[in-house]
Amino acid sequence: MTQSNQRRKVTVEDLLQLKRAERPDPEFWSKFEVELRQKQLAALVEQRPWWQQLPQFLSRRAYLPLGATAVIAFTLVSVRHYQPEQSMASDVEALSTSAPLSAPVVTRSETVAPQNAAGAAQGHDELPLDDRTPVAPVQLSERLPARTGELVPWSAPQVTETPSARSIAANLARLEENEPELVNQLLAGGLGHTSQTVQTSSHAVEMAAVSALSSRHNRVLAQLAERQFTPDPSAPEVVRERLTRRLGDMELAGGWTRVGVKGDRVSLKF
Amino acid sequence: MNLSKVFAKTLVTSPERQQEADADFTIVKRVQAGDVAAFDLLIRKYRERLFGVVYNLTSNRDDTADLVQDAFIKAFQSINRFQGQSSFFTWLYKIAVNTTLSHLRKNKLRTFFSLEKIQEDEPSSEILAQLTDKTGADRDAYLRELQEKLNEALQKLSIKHRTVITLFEIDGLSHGEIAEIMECSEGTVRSRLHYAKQFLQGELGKYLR
Repeated sequence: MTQSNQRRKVTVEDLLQLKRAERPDPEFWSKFEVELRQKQLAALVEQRPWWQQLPQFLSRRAYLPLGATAVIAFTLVSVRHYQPEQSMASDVEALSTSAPLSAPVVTRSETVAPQNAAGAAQGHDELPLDDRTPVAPVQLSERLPARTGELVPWSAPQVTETPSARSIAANLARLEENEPELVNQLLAGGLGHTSQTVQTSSHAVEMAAVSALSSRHNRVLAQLAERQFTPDPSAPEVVRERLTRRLGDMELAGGWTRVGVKGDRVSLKF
Repeated sequence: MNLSKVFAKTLVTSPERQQEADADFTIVKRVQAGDVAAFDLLIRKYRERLFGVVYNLTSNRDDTADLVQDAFIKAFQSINRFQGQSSFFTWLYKIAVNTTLSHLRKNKLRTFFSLEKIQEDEPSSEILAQLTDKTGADRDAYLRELQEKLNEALQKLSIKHRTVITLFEIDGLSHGEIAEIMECSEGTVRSRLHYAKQFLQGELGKYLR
């Protein structure tokens, strides 16, 4: 058997073993150590700028809960602000498009102007209470159409999705036919005192917007409109007198606190 | 399989490796406590192995020296973040490999090869004896040619394949350790290893006999 036959076959692994044997001489390591020492000292002295430390901070696991919290917070805030804004904008748009600009205006805050409506839609819906000085009786029917279908502009189909605004407008119009004075008082001063409970104004547009937010107010107004504010003929004379006097009283519209809702019933405190 | 390779594979799964990791972690704790000089122990312990890995990835001596130094500096700067969840040497290898891969990606076109002298200790001399029966100057020329061909073949591999075969065949790490260092699965490591060996066999067929 020849010598070459005695050799075992050389493999790739064997060749790569030679790479393992490639090592630098000892002088290399002395130089290496000196250079490393210098770099180490420089690294100790050097103040790293914040943008170089930022990736290290971000690479830590702390950013995970922070990021999750931020995403959740953003989602909650956006969802919370998105829906009311849309409904308020649609309500305001419905009323403002149906109201003529030349309609008689009672108070500055009641002016149904597109710019106010736009401001209300953007959340800038609060005016100083001092500005709400009553000037003249309101002809609500001029500003609010009696039929709910007229509220909906053809180019804004989303308005039809807010029945609260339509029902409020219809209820107010019906109420105005029966009790114009009450409506005047309600619109002129009554709603102005409700700022403690709800941030509303006497503005009809804002009222619709507020009512869209609060179904309870909506129900109260609807039932107020349906109710005939006439004393029960079967009641005693004293009671009827008192009711008549109180219904004409300015304080009737003095606050929503007089209106109570229990289940399907509406009660008025005198 | 020669003795050194068997020893390297045994180390990977042996309790000695665990003891080594524990000893390293003790030193790391000293460094974390403020004993900066203790880091020199880790440097002396791992500098040659780190040099071997980086050198076989770059095939350039000067670049290797810089990259190994940078890896040690980075490890020193980040030593407080080391919690002992992996062994220190795996963590250090990861830093060195990532530093090297980043350097290689930045300098794809700049390739200057340099050759280290083969230290003819027992395993390498045995292989050399099998490779050639030449002596004297002929043998040196043959070895130089073989080194150059080896380097060329390795450099033709992609960075990832080169890293895998370097860590496995030259440095003797296990599949699991390589997977941890390269942040991939063991299957991926095996696949890359298989492809790299096939490629090298094709490139170095002349020397395989």
